[in-house]
Amino acid sequence: MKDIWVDKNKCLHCFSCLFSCALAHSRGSDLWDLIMESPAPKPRLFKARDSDGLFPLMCRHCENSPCLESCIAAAITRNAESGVLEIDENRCVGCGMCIMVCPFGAVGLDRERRVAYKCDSCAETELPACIRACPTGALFNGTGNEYSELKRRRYGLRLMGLNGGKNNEVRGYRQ
Amino acid sequence: MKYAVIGNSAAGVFAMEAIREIDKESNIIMFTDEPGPAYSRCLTTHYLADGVSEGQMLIRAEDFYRRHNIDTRFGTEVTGLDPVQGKIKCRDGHEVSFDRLLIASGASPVLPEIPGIQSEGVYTLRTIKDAKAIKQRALPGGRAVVLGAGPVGLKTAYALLLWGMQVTVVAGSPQILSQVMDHAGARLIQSHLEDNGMKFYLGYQVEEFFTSDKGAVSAVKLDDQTELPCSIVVVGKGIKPNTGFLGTEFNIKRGLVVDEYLETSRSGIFAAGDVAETFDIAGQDARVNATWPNAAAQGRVAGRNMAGCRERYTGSLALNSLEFSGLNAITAGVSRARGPEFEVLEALDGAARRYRRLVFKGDYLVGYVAVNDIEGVGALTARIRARIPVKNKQVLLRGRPLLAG
Repeated sequence: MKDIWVDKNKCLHCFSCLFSCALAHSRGSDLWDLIMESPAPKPRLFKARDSDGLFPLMCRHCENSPCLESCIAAAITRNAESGVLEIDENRCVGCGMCIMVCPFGAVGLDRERRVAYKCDSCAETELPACIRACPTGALFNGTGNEYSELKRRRYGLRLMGLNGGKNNEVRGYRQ
Repeated sequence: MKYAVIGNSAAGVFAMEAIREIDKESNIIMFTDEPGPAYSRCLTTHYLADGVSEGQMLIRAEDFYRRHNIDTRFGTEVTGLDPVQGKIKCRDGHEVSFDRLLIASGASPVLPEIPGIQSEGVYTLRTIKDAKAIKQRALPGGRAVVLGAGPVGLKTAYALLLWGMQVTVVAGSPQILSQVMDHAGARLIQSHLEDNGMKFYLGYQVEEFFTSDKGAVSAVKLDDQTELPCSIVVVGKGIKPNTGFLGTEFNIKRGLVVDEYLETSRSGIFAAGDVAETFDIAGQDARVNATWPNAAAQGRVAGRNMAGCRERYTGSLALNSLEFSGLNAITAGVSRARGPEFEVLEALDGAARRYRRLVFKGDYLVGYVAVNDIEGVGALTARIRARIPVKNKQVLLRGRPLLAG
């Protein structure tokens, strides 16, 4: 499957990705709708931090998914075709188990609607909304192999002391 | 290869799926004393409160057993096991042989010895059958008493409250959730439940159940002679692993003891779920962590190992997540200092009922409590599991926890 990756060095922390995600998962179609909708639509990405600083973070659709195993309502399942972990809001009881076990903190709880929410990889569209919204290309779509190849190429350039390597290292988070 | 699985809840179901991912051909035979397909026991209280229907409680699609080619023995109680011959004995006299066995027989509620506890109207809540019986008797407007203020007791009390009953919780300990949470966190949850109409008698023992002329429970008498009239009592005083049928052939302590591959002392026989005593990551000792996430993960690992893998189970954790009308509480691992080498950090906002408590042993995070302040706390659970020294402890106390560093 194709994952959403983050090039932390390109991220400006504008978080356009969060806005576009909330909009893509709202009932309306523009910023005004987004502001007026109640309960407020939730971005399915989160402003995460590690020792390097802030970056946008979303569901990694893990293997042996802790959220899927912990869900007491069997509301989280893996789509056999896309590999995406999906939350069935009709089954979710908002118990918070998935929030307790997600090692990335990539699941949120909608307190008004009492359901859990997370990145669905915009499975119905060609390119996820967050990637389309990113002005610097810090977010991009690719397989794990493609991401790893990019990282290795950058590292090679850096070893050779070439520009394009040194200041553009891809520091995505580990899966 | 002939696989047998005793138990059809989280551990059993995840194990059967794991076996089938690797071995599509061999026979799998599953025994359960339950009459129907797998459902979520954790949802019995939600069913009671009318939050979910019986159909919604089922954790797998209707064709699950057929699609995975599983020979099902519903309503079949296993009464004996011969680990040397590899044979299971059932209540109806049938014997079935196996090459690999998973014991995921779960646990049963503990019934304390109190005069009158066998009266009509006194229940435990574990199965859908229990939930149905309680629901039939629980009349909106009536009075209910719940014994025990652990997660199950409180979830039951809260469900009866939503159902429209006047609910009183009686517990021997001076605080609610005494096994899984510290005093300050428990106090916040108690206040919230009291605001919603629940009443508490903490630090009291029940001496006797009074019954009406017809034999049904009519009141509960406490050790200070207080009488609490009620038409229904639910006992939530903990659970004990179902190991009775195992005889003396196994190593049984607090639960059925397994090694790091979830194999029992008998080769080819594995255990998972509420029956199993596993390695606890936070305490670094053996424990029975009888909650759904542990059971499911153990089932998956045990199933893979039954099918020929050699996968280590990294260990279990005390994990609890509770939701009461808008209040969310999550606890993991150790919630109280157990000695001088423990360090506790707390952040409390009493007015907003927001609370976070971190428990460290040396440089390692070994547990936390989060009330309402739950955003991203899974990263804390991951830190307990990872056992990497924490550099900046204070930073973890507020906001979305750092993922690393």
